[in-house]
Amino acid sequence: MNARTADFIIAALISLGSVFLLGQLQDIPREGYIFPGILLYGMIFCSAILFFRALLKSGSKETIHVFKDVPLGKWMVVVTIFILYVIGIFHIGFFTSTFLVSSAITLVLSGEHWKKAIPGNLAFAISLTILFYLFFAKLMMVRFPDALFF
Amino acid sequence: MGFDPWFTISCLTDPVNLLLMSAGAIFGIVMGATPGLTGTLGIALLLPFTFGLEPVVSLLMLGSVYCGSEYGGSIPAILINTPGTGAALCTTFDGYKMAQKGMAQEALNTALIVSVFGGFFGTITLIFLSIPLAKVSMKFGAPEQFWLAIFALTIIAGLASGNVVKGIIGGLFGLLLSTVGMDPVTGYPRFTFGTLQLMGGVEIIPALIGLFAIPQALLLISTGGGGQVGGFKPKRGLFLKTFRIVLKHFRVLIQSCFVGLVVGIMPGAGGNVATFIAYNEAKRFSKNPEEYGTGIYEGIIAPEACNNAVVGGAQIPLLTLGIPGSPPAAVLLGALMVHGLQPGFKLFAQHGNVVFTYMIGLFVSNILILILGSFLVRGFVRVLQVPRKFVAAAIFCLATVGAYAIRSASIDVITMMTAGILGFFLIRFGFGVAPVALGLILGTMAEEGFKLSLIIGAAKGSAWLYFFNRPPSMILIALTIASLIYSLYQEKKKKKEDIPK
Repeated sequence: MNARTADFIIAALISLGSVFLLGQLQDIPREGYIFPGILLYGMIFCSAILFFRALLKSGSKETIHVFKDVPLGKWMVVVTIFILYVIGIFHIGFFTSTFLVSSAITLVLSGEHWKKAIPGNLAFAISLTILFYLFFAKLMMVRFPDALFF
Repeated sequence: MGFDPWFTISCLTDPVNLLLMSAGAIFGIVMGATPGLTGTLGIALLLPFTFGLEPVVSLLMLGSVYCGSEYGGSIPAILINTPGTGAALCTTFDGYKMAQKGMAQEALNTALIVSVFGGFFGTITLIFLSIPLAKVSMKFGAPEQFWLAIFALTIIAGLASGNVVKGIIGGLFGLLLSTVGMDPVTGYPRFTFGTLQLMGGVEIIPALIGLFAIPQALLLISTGGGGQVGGFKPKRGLFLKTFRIVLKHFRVLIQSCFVGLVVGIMPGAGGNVATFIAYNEAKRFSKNPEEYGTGIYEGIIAPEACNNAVVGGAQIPLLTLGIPGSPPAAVLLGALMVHGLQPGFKLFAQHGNVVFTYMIGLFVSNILILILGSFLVRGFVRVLQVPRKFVAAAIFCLATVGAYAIRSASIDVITMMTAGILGFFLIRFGFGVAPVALGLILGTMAEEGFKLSLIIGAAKGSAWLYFFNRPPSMILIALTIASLIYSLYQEKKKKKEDIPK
């Protein structure tokens, strides 16, 4: 993406977000409103500067590559697994989720030779889960959420 | 100053504490030695597990991680020409060349010896400079509390992101996050959107874990690989020989430590900037500058001594004024606050035992690093062989359990996850995560200072005069403006340099 276009979009989004958040402060007395209010006006002011600086950069070929070195597909799969993990620990169980997620992430990141990597990935996932169980549940006495499985 | 030497001695000779510090140092070295991982991430990941410990033990453990990571960064820099941390970039120039000449062990020994020396140097200065500077903070009232937070933010914003405006937006966003939840004065909920779980506000530690750990794990998707280093077999008897050679370059060593210390004290600059200056200065003062970059001892001594001196330097403004001198120091500030320790004169007056034991403990941490570094070097080298996919998976799981373990609350895990994904985009769009993290940490202090100033100022006749007319405030405002102008100048200069490229 062109850096200039990105700055325009970011500036617009920040301004709109700030205006929306300013609306959320309307019913609060002055003492509670004033500090976040100033911050939000500050953000609008800074986004205006960002906008005008982008405007002055006409003809700039500077680009922003959000997923240049990180493949978008892999990124989305890993982030989805991560989100499912966060949900899973409260429903499936912490250690079951940890095993599944560590297996899944290592599998996704194994690349072309994923079939050959399966035993190594499973060994890693089992070791990590056992290590987590011993350290967090037994040594540190962390009370994990009650869920369907372990 | 409440300081009991017996407390310090008993604390620093306690076998359990020494074991925890050693564990912290090993964890730090591993974090530093793994390309893509940093000391900041190490401190953020370890922070939740130190909650149950005494504040002093927790700080000693985290301090050991910080010291260890600075040394650890040199291992991949020397062996595989990849800096483990940003501050170890200059170490690759001569370290890798030495390894190519078959002098990898000499290079690693040099890095270890000068790292420990730099650590000692930084710690001595930290002990001697912190008390006078802490006394300065006694003159600070509510308005200065506010201006100090703004000053710290403008500096971090300018230096951490590379784009001043985006850095400031990041800082403001962090401050805004700190206002989420019930307003302490009016009791009205702010930005909770009717969610009960947000009434308590955004928890700092899960947010820090998310901001620093998750983007790193997501970036590891790209690097893949691991296992690049071949067999490394250390020989006996080289340590003393290297030590003698290092002593021959004492001037470079001291000069680099000074650079590290001064740059470390300057808030926000950190080791990345300092090592370049130290390397350049060592080269400039050398009789044979053309030898730099060909694999000489001085080329390792300068950056490695410097980045470890930064550790002590960066903690001077942190402990005395509450301004972190580097990103790891910003996370340490979070640790101090979580344990109810407010930086400044009060920290030294009311918790003298904790702060002095911590500072003296940094010596012990460096000694532990020297011992561990010389005996476990083969193990640390193996870290480079761990495939990145395992590191990424472990970070995701460790960050999640870390966020959950703080108070067994689901909202903390969600906070960590959201901050993590957001952090990835903040980095990619040039905002950086450090300004947001610092804004979140300093938010409460800034708002308290702001509100108190308004109330006291109104009672005295003019809130504005009270805000702007006090001499310490005026100095802080002038420093804030100066740092903004400097950051803008640096940004412009960098852009001019980039155009021909």
